[in-house]
Order: sequence, then C-alpha cells, then structure tokens
Amino acid sequence: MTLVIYLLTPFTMTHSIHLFQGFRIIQTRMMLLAILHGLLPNPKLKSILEGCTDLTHLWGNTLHSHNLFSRPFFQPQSVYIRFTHIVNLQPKFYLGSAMHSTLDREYSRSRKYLQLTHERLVQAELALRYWQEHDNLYVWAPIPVYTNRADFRSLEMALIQEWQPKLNFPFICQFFHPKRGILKKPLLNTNAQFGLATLWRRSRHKFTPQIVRQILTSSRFQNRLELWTIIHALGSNTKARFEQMKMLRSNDGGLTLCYALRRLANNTQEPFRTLSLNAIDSTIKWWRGKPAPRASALRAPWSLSPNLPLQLKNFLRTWHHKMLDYQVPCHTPSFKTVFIKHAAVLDQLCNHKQAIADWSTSNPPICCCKVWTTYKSAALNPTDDHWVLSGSLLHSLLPPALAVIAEGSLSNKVFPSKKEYLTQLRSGLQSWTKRNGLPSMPTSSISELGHHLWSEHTQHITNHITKSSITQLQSTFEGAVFRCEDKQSSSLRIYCPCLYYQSIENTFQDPSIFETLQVDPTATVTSPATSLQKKHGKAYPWAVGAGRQLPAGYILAKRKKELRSGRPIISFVESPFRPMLNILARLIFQLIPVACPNHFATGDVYTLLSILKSAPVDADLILVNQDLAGFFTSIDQDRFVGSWFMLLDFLRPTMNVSDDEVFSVYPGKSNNPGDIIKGRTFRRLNVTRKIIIKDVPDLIKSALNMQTFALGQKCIRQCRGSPMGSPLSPALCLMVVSVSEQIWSGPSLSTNFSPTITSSSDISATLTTAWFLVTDNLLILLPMKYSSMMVSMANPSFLKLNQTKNSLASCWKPNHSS
Amino acid sequence: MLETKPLELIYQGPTNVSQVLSPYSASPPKVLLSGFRSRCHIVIKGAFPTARVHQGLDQLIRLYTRAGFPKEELQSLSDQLLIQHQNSQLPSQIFAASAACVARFFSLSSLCSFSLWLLVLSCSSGVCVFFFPSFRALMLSFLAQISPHFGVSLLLLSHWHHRPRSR
Repeated sequence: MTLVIYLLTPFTMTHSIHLFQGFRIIQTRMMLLAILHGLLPNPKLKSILEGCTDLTHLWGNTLHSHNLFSRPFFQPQSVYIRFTHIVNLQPKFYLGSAMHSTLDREYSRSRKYLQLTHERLVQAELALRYWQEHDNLYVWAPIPVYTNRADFRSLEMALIQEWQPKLNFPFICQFFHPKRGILKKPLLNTNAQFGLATLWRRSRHKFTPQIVRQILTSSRFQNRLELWTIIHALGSNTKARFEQMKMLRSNDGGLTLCYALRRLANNTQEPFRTLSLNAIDSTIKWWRGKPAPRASALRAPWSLSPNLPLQLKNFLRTWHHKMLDYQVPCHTPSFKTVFIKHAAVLDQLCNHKQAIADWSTSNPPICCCKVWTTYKSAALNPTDDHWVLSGSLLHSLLPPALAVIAEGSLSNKVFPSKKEYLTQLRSGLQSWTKRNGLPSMPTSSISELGHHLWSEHTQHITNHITKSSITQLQSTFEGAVFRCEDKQSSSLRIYCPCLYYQSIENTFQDPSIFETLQVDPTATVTSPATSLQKKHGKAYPWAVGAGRQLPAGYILAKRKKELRSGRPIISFVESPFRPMLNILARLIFQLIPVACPNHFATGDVYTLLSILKSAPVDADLILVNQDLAGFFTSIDQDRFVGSWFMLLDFLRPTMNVSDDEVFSVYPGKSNNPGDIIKGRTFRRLNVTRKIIIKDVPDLIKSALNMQTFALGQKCIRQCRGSPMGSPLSPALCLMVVSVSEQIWSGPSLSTNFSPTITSSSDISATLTTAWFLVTDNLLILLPMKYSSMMVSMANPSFLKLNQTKNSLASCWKPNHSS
Repeated sequence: MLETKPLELIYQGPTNVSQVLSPYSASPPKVLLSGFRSRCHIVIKGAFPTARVHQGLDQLIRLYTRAGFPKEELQSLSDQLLIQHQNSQLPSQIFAASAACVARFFSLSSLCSFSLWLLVLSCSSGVCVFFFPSFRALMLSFLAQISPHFGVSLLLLSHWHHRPRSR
C-alpha cells in the first residue's frame, strides 16, 4: 500500500513543496513500521513512539487512513520528534517544536540544510550541522507528538530534559564537535549533565539537605511543565518575563526557587539561557542571596604522590560533607581535579631575551669556550672560535640529573620547589571553595595536606626535572646563552655569547628589510597606540586592547648558516591593536574559501594523503614542491589592499558587499561549545565583533604600518612586506595567493595561459585536485608530460595578466622535485 | 617520505629523544604519552601500505623506549589504536558496498514498476503509444532529479556508519 502511494505521489501533487511533504509522510510511515516490527529496536525510542504519538491510522491500508495519519503533520503549535529506523542511529533522535506545522518546519530546515551544504555563512544549530557533516538529514523523519498546544515551546524544553534526546543541545555536545581533531572528547561532568533527572534523583538521596528536598517535593516542582513554562517566560523578552520575575520576588517565589530554577535554566539553549539566567541572577541579588556558583574542578599542581587524584577528591568530599548546610541549594560542587601545567624547561632555562637585552646595551660579550674544554666533543662547530654545544651530545658528559635536561625536550615540565608547590595547592583549594560557593578551608588543614603530599612526592623523585637541577645546569654553564636552533625547537643548544651576538647582528643587518631607528622602545609604543585609538577607537572601542608593549624581536640561529645568522622572530604578544589583528585574520580566513573556492590551500594533510594514496601507480606522475621565498616580505602593501577589493568582487555573487554592509566575526578561540577547558565547560561568547566593509582597507593599512619592533633596548623597523609575527600577516598573504590562484583556475585565463591546457580536456580536472598550498609551500602532483607547466607558473607574464602592480612570480622558486 | 616505485608513504617521525617528552617530566602519565598517541594516529591514518604502518609504529615505540617509557605499555597502546582504526574503517567499507547495491536495486525496480504503470495508464486512457517513450523519458529525468532527496531516504539500511563529509 505504501509503495503504491509512493509511486502515485508524483502524480497527485502539483507543487514541489507538496511533493516534499508527501514523501516525508510516506517515509515516516515506513520508518515507524520498521521500528515497531523490526528486530531489536531501541527501547527508549520505541516506547516514546508507541506511548506519545498517534499511531491509530498507521496500519490502515486505505487512502483515507493515510490522510488521517497525515493530518497531525499539518497542525500548528506542535512538538515533534525526528527519528530514524537505522538501528545504530535510533538512540540519536531529535525533539523540536514548530509554530505553523511539523512539515513546514521540516521544509524550512531543508532550506537551511541546503545553505549549509553550499557552504554559505549561516548560523545553524548543532543538530543540523551534524546532519550536514554526515550527509544524512533525510535519513531522519519527523512525527508530531503534540499538536495545537499553546505552550509548545515550554513543552519542548520540558520533554528535552525528560527524554534527553541525543541530538538536542546540550546532549549533542557529548559526541559531536564540528572541526575537531582526532582526540576523543571527555564526557561532560555530572554538573553539566542536565538538571532535571539528576535533580529528582537527588531528592531521594539520604544526604540531600532538607531545604533542597523541600523544593523538590513542592507542588510547583511536581508539575514539570509549569516549571519549564516559568523558565521559558524568563528566557523571552515579553511581558510574561516581567510577570514571572514579579512572582519570583514575591512570597510565592523566593530564593530557594530561584536557585533551583537557575540550575535548570543553565542547560537550555541560547538565547533562552542567557536571558533567563540574567533574570534569575538579578532576582537572587534582589533577595540578597549568595550568587549561584558554577561547579568548577579543582586546579592543583601535579606531583609524584601515589593516588594523587583520589587523595585530593577525598579531601574535597570531606570538606563538602562538613559544609553541607552552607551549600547553595541545588548547586553541588565539582570533585574533579585538573592538573595545572608546570613551567617548561624552555621557560626556566632559556635566557635568550636577556641575551638580546645585553646585546642591545653594547656591552662586549665574554667568551665561555675556554672553560668548556671538557665539553668540546659536544660542540657542533669545534673548529670555530666560538662554540655551540648540543644538548643531546652532552648526555655522557654530565651527571644523570642534568643529562635528562640537556638531552631531553625543552617542552619537558619542571617540578616546582616546595614553597611554590604549597602556594599553588593553597590557591587552587581556595579558588575551588570560592567558585563552588563553599566556605573557605582553614589554612592549617591545607598546609597539612600539602606537607603530606610533598613528603610522598620527595620519596618517589629520582632523576626528575626539578627547579634545583635547572639551577645546577645554569651554574655549570655560567655565562652561556641557552636556546634552541631553527627547525629544532625542542633541542637544547648552549651558545657562547660571542657567537650568539654575532648571530643577532647578522640576522637583522639586511638594510633592504630592516632599518635601525634611533629611538627608545618604550617611547615608541605610546604614540602609535594613541593614534590607533584616535583613528579606530570610536567605531571599534575594543580594537586597541590592553597591550602596550612594542612587538619584541628574537632570533633562531640556523645550522645551514653555521649558526652565525638566523631566522628573525617577532612576537606580537601584549602589543596594541592585537584584538583587531586577530579579528581581521579570522574574518579573512573565513571569507577565502567562500570567495575563492578553487584556491589550492583547501583540505588538510589527510586530504592530501588520501589523494596521494589514490594516485594511479602507472600514470607517470611527478610531485613538485615549491617554496615561496620570503612569504611576508615579498608582497607590497598596495597589493594587499588590491587583493582585498578583488576578494570582495569574488564574494559579490554570494553576498552583498556594499560599503555599509557589516561582517560579524566571532572573537571566540578555536574551542567548541562543550569542550572542557581548564576544568570548565567552554561556551561560546554571546558577542560578535562587527566590522563595516568600508573600514577594512584602512584597518589593513593600519595593521601593515605596525612595522616597528623592539630588539632589547633598540628599535628596528621592517621596511617592506607585511609585519613578520603579526597575527594578520598569514591571512593577508594567503588572501593574495588565493586570489591569484582563483583567477588562474578560471576558464577564461587558463585558455590564454598555456597551449598545453587547451590541448587537453582532462588536465584542468587533474590540476584542481592536485594542487595544494601548505602555508608557503606548494605541492603539485601532475603527469610528467605536463611538467613544462611548472616553468609557466614561475613565468612573470602569468601574473601580469592579473593586472597587478607587483609580480608574485618573482618569489616562486622551485625547491626540489622527486 | 613518498616512495614512487611502488607508491608508498613512509612515516618519518622524530628520531631524537629531545623531540619527545621525558618520563621524568613534571606531568601526569596520560599527558606524557599524549604525543605518542597522536603520532600513532598520524602513522595509522597516513602511512600505506600496512607494512609501512607497522614500520612507523615500531619506529615510534623504539624512540619512546629509548626515552625511558616501558615498552609493554607503548606496545599495548599502539595495538589498541590500530584496532580502533581498523574497527572504524571496516563498517564504512561494508556500508559503501551495500549502499551502492541497495541503491542500484531500488532505483531499478522503482523505475521498472513506474514505466509499467505509465504504459498501462497511457494505453487505457487512449493516449497514443507513440508519445509514450518521450513521456517516460521526461518522468525518468524528473525522478532522477528528486531521488537524492526522497529516494535515498527510503533505503531500508540496518546500519549507518558515520562518514563525515569530505571537506
């Protein structure tokens, strides 16, 4: 019967939307039958479908019964479930609500899905991103649960908490993280795990305080829908919000109800969450109650004490048990421990910053090589006047405790001194009690625990890296400069200061790139910060930020230049204008794939590997690796601004790019909602940075003019290109290169470009899948017979076709081919 | 490193002890071995053929053993990751094969019944049989257009393996 209706459907419907609806209903019927009569259905889903949905006409075999079955799909104010019959996906169902009808919502969802699949920049809920990511939206089908309910929104919230559907927020955060890496995400901690069920379970526990039990057994908490209606009203911006706040401030409400509601509202989706929490928090303040705490893990220092997490947990639990009467109702503390990172060897040992400061004061360096004769065998350049000792070669020449540091990684962490350890433990426990809303612990019990843990730690310590061994190594090589070398960032190198000073001078001596200014760095930073504030502060008050330090320069000595010269490194940490630089970079990185879909820097290394893996073995392929010489210094400022306008041109078909349009950019970091960061669940900031399109060129120019940096007490200016070390520079350079690649891959240009391409129909397809840009490296996989094209890519005439002032081609150089 | 004859991708990982964390470092054991775990993932996902995967893992185990980690622990960790990857790959291959077969069967049978039904309809309503092929072609193209949205959703698959859309 269903098959007949399926076949007839195209002829009974006229509009595409009706077709869509017709097929969805048939699909729902088939999936329902598959679940109800199939083998091993998910018991939770099956019982929800059997108990809550209208299945009266599911088994009917007439057209009339099909119509009766379809009726709820078109009724307004509905709460529905999206489910699938596929066995391993059955637990992942989704609960939603619709104002007009279930199928209307389904249709709007499919349109949003289409936008997502076309990589439009749209806001979409996590569930839809999940379906888009796995390309299986239509494997789920909707069925209404309730219809014609005025309180359908709060009913949805209540049911989400009751049934905990895996595809709804926040449950979906447990397994789905868009753009995450390979590491598995830890489970949410118990406090993030969803108020209602745990809250009710808590009412049965013996140790639950009387006051909490009273709240949970009150008549209002017995009617769960009423509870969610209050929260929904508080999360709206209507008159109902005002009414509910009035109720909470009256004798009908009260402080304890506020705490319980806050616990529940904390798990709802934005924007309801923020609005309702604001309302509840202001009411708690009005009642002069203790602010509701966030369950936060203990941040403690790591030590070698056996069963350290368990010992700490027991200590916290004991304190909690004692302070049960003072706990904020319904807000149980977290008993998890997050071990804070100790300082790395790099932070404790390396003194290159001091070396640069000493160099800039023009004091002559003191050679250390004379006292290093016993270590000559560890020198990388024993024939030179001044040596560099390799940490790994020092292994046999030093005592074991020092050898571990010398040959080990600079990222190894250092155990602190006893004093530091006790301080870290004390501050961790104090902030734990404060954040979890518990009274402070007495100092004596904290110090007792600290001493106990430290004594256990010292019993287990052997050749571990400690603060004292670092000091010992420093005194062994007194006067030396401790640093790594270029492309060996984790290996220790011990430099004679004479050689290191020479290396600094040689690195920054190229007059075509660097110019020494005769000014004081501290004086130089104030005027640019003021001018930036004056220029952009009104439109973008957040742009300049709190940093007031001039960017600082360092070097990484290069082995291939006999360690007498190096790579310049410029750090923009704590520099003014950094927030704007970050936001502009983020904006450009987001726009490039939309504007230039054919640029080469698409996909990650695994995409590259999979293409290599699937490359035909007998196709006589050649893999070429090209490197951009001087990525940041080779492109002039006009070209950056010109490329920005070209990027806007490429964006024009996709979006409105008129001058007064605004880009919204999330300032959040690369973490995803639901990640556990420093013991807390990460939530995306509910703010966006807005940038008006017409301001972008000026902002880019301001960013490009930040060319001055400090080298100890000296001031240096970078004469050309984009500032090295600026967070914006990689984005700008990628933009220039991507725009060129997009033009190059276009059909109009490629026909003019090389006769080789026009003569072959399949070459363009081969090329688009075989070009990759990894930062400033270009990997090209192509048949040997087209290898002559590599010469064409380096031909300046190609880029002259782009009507640009400066040719990028001059900076392409073939590195090697294999 | 890419070998061309035959085509092989060989993992060239860290070779010095200074490139990995030391067991004497001040971090919990899980953190100390996180680098090993992620490097194993890279080897398993990237290197091919299988012999090169094992070679890469052995190389990693040797280095970490040299750094002072217990070999048994490293071996069991790498085995565990290898099995985990194999398990995640197997269903996707099965799915790819079965989905293609089912889709082909379903579309074929649906089109056959559809054409038959049209034939009956056109004959019984007195429509000239001459126009039937063109009408059928039109309908088939229409079905082909809508099938990605409607046809696929009707596949009665028993299992679905999560295969993220390639970016």
